[in-house]
Amino acid sequence: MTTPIIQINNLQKRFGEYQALQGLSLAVHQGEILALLGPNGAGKTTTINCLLGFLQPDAGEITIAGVNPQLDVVTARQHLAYIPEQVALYPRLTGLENLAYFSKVASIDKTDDEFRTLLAEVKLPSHAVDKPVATYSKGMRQKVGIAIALAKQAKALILDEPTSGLDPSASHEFSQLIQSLAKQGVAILMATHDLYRAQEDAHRVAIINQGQLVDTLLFEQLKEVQLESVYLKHIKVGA
Amino acid sequence: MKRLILATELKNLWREKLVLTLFLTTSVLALVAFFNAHYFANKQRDVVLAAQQMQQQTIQNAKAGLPERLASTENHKWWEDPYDLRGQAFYLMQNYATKTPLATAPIATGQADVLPYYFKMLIKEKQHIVHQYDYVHPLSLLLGQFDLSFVVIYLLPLLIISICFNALASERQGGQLRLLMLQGGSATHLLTYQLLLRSALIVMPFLLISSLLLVIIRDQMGVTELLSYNLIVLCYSGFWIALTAWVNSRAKSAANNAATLVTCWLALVIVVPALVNTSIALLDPTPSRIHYIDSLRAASDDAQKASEKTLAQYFQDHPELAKNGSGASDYATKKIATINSVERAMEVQDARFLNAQQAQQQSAQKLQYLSPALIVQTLLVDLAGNGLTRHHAFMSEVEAHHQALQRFFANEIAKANQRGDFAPCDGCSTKPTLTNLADIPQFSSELATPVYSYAPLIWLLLLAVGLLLIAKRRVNKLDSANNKEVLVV
Amino acid sequence: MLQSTFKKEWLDTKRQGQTLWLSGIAVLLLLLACVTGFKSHQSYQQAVNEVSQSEQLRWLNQGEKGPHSAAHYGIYVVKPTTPLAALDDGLQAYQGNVLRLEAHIRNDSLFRSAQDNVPLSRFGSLSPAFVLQVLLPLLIILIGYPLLAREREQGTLKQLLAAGASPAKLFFAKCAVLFTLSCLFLLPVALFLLYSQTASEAPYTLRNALFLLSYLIYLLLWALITTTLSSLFPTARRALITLLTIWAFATLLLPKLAMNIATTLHPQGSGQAFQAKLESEVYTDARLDAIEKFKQQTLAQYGVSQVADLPFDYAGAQLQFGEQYADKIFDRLFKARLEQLEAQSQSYQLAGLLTPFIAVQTLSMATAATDFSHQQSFENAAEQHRRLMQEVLNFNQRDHGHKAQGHYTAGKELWQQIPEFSYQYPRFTHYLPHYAISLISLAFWLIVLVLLSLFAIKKLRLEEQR
Repeated sequence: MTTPIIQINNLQKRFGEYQALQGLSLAVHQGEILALLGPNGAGKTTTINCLLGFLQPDAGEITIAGVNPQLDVVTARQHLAYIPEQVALYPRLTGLENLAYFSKVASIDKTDDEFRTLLAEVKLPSHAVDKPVATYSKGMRQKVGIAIALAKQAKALILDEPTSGLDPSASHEFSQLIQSLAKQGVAILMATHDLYRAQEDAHRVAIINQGQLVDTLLFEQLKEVQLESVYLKHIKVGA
Repeated sequence: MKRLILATELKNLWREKLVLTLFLTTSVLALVAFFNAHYFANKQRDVVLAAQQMQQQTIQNAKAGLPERLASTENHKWWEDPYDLRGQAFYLMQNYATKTPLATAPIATGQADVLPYYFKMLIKEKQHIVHQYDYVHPLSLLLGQFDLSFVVIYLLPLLIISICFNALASERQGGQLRLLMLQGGSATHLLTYQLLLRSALIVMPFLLISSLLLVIIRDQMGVTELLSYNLIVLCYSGFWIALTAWVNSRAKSAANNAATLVTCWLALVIVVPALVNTSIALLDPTPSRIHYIDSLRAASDDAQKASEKTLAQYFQDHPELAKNGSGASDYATKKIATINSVERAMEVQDARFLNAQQAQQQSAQKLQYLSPALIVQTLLVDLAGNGLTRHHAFMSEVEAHHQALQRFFANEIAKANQRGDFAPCDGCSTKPTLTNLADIPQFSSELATPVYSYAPLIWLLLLAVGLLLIAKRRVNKLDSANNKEVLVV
Repeated sequence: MLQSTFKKEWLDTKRQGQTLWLSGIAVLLLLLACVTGFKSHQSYQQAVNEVSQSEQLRWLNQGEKGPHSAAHYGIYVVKPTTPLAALDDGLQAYQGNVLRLEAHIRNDSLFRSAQDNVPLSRFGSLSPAFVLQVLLPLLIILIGYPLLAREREQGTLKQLLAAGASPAKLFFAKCAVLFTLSCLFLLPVALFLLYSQTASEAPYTLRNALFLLSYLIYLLLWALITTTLSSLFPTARRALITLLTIWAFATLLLPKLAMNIATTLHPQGSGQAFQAKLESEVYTDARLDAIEKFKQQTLAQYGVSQVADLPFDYAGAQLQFGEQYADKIFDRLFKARLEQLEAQSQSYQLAGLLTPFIAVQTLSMATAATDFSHQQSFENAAEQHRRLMQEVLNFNQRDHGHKAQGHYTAGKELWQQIPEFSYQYPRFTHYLPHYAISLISLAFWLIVLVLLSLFAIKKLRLEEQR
């Protein structure tokens, strides 16, 4: 097997009295979609913040395409793209302008036409491209977010509750985009509560509770088991 | 990167319709403030010109009327006769001491609306001359003039706060900062360019318009003064920008930033100056002018009661004026001697007021470091020529002029008296004792351009740099990956 | 509802700390202002009493002299204050408080203490009125802006409304919390008023009551507008920024602008021009003609051909005629000047419809008798006294001058005939019409803001249904 793009080894993080992560280890490989499941407070967001370089873990190691964000945050971030639940864009700028701005910040020099092509690729309706983002739906904002990730040619994509609040068709469209990204070789880590989407999209599901990995289900297993019952079993055990 | 952030920021502000609004606001403020203060200064200039013109006109009229007067045979009452030394000295003289507003006057009216800028001189106690003033609505004095310094000191900081309070904070709360940083952008850069662009949108139009108006509309506006004005305004704005940077770097919500900044503004521009004022007055209280009147009356009474003694003392001091031989002196000399004596008796009282004011000014010089607003007001008022330094210099000139007039009349009256000009033969007309009014000393002012020290500005800059350094350290922390807490949400 | 809102806000406030901190500073500032205000009022009033007394003694003991010499000697009178001046010294520093009364001339008041101060004094000093008019509204804003807006942001507003809280009750409870808090700041002021009401023999009851009432309304206005905007705006941030803009306009920008416009609309000539006009209009040939005419008339009336044959001293009669001649000109010129200044006052008051600050400032200075109108009352009374003085002295000269051998002199008996000038401000009812605009402005603002808050409540109700 190839070396994983996202590698987490024995990650620990404590906030005062509260131990958020207790030796979490995970890996996401090229072209793989890993769904990270866990109840509120399980350590999903803390893990993501450590990955993104916004938080310093107390112990353990992270590498993103071989780069440790704690040592070289700039290079690590070059390989990363991130789509939160609510993609934060400038509401007064158009989708195109947002894409151009955030790409140019990352020193990605493309022409307007190339950016338009990207937006078409993520299926942003052409009438919306030149409208201010304030008028966009949540799904449309997320498409711009994916376009930013595409433009960056990120090796790893981190998603935080990407489908919550999307209507079923938007949600479906979104998972198609994710699938195609994975096919292009992007390693995708998707933190979610959406068991259905996890079961549908993920190649692997990692269930964490109280800062620890409690189970990993492979794609093949996912076809057979009732994910919900496995999940609930682990959460109850942990509690 | 710099250009990219600036362009995007400008686009954002433009679409928020803020660029035009701010440009219009600051332009209107600059226009209103300049013209209001300009008209105020011009009104004073016109009064000065009218007074000077009146003085020259009186001299010309006297010259024209002289032949007629010399030919006339009727008796003239001396107190109505412009050709009589005594009439001129005590009643008729049109002689003005004036202070013309400088070209920089619209920058800060300062105390110019309260302090007298012209005096109608007569031979009477100095104390009765220097307290003349222009009778205007006292409310307009309490509220003050709407001048450039008002906009600079009070409104520019408010405008800077109102547009900069959510710099970075809004990106933090909205999440754009996280995305920006993941794309390799830096919070420090973002905050820097946001603050620079936003405050430039306020300060630049204001400085540009007010400077242009000063150059075009005011006569003889000096380059140094113009540069000083710009420098002072830039330093002051710089302080407020640094303060905003410091508050923004604390990573609180935008509303919290706004409340903190407004509290800072209130403290530095309103409360501290008021407290400084109150403490200055408590430390060196101004003596009571009501008691002053009492002293003045007592001094006058004493001088009157001892008028013979007063006169003897006066002649002892001015032997050249004593009449050759014996005989009572005339009314006019006696009066001048009394005036002299009252003035001398009041010297102590006058000094008390001057000393109190100087002590207050000294405390003010020290305490001004407590608030940038105080520093800037002092500098702008001095630059505009409406400060105490220039006024004191003017008052010394007025005093010197008053003494010159007194000397002139004392001498001439004594001489005329010795010649017997005031006691004509029965039946013939009173003899003119002053044929050329131009002989009366005329006020000439040689006020140097006020010198001001820029030391307080350095303090202002130090404060700004200090705040910026702290802000920079804090924001840099956002940029680094080694945080124990999540600083960027 | 009210009680529970009070309790909730109190807990919130206590935990926030910032509000308590700010309030504490404001209370300290107010107390400091009250103490210094009271002290300076006391020392001023003491000076007035002392100097008035010594002037009166000086007048009585000026010795034997001709009545006209005494008229030139004259007397200085000083403007007294009311106890309320300790709370609002208004225009005291910017108008002369001393007036010289003498023959032939109507003087302007002397010694504006602002002239003796340093330029820095123009930042204003800490007076109770300043704290109440400028700082307290800002404190109300800083405390009150999140009252409803933050509940909306947090989503608790929806919960409250869904739980059946009446929007009107909720609104008024929040407003009441804010108003009660701001009224606490009025306590020192109210205590002072109570003290001056009980300590004084002739208390200025109406003035005190109106003073307190206008501030109560003023604070209520700020509490109302803060609650209203906090309720209307979706976020606390926007409510705060809007309120601060309103505050800056209301207390800082508009008053200054209004007075600058008022002085431009009703311009006034320079003092130099006025003095020149006085001189040139009094001392004219017309005056000499009038005096000559008066002389001929008097001679004709008594059927004599020269003044020496008159049964009285003509000099005294002519002096009085001269006074009356000049008085008419003074009346005309001073009236014209005063009309301009009054027009400025009224224009400024009219701007009270734009900001309640102007209305409350006007009423506060008016009740404290430290405004321009009260100054005018004092100056007019002093002028009447001057004319009475001249009349008594000139008539004495007229009636007795001819009896004396040589130069006629009078003494203490005559000086005593002129009553001591002790000025009392007229009852405030006398001034009420003058301040009608400000009273109307306050009422106008109250109505506007009540309507606005009703609108805000209506919007809250709509929110409840959504």
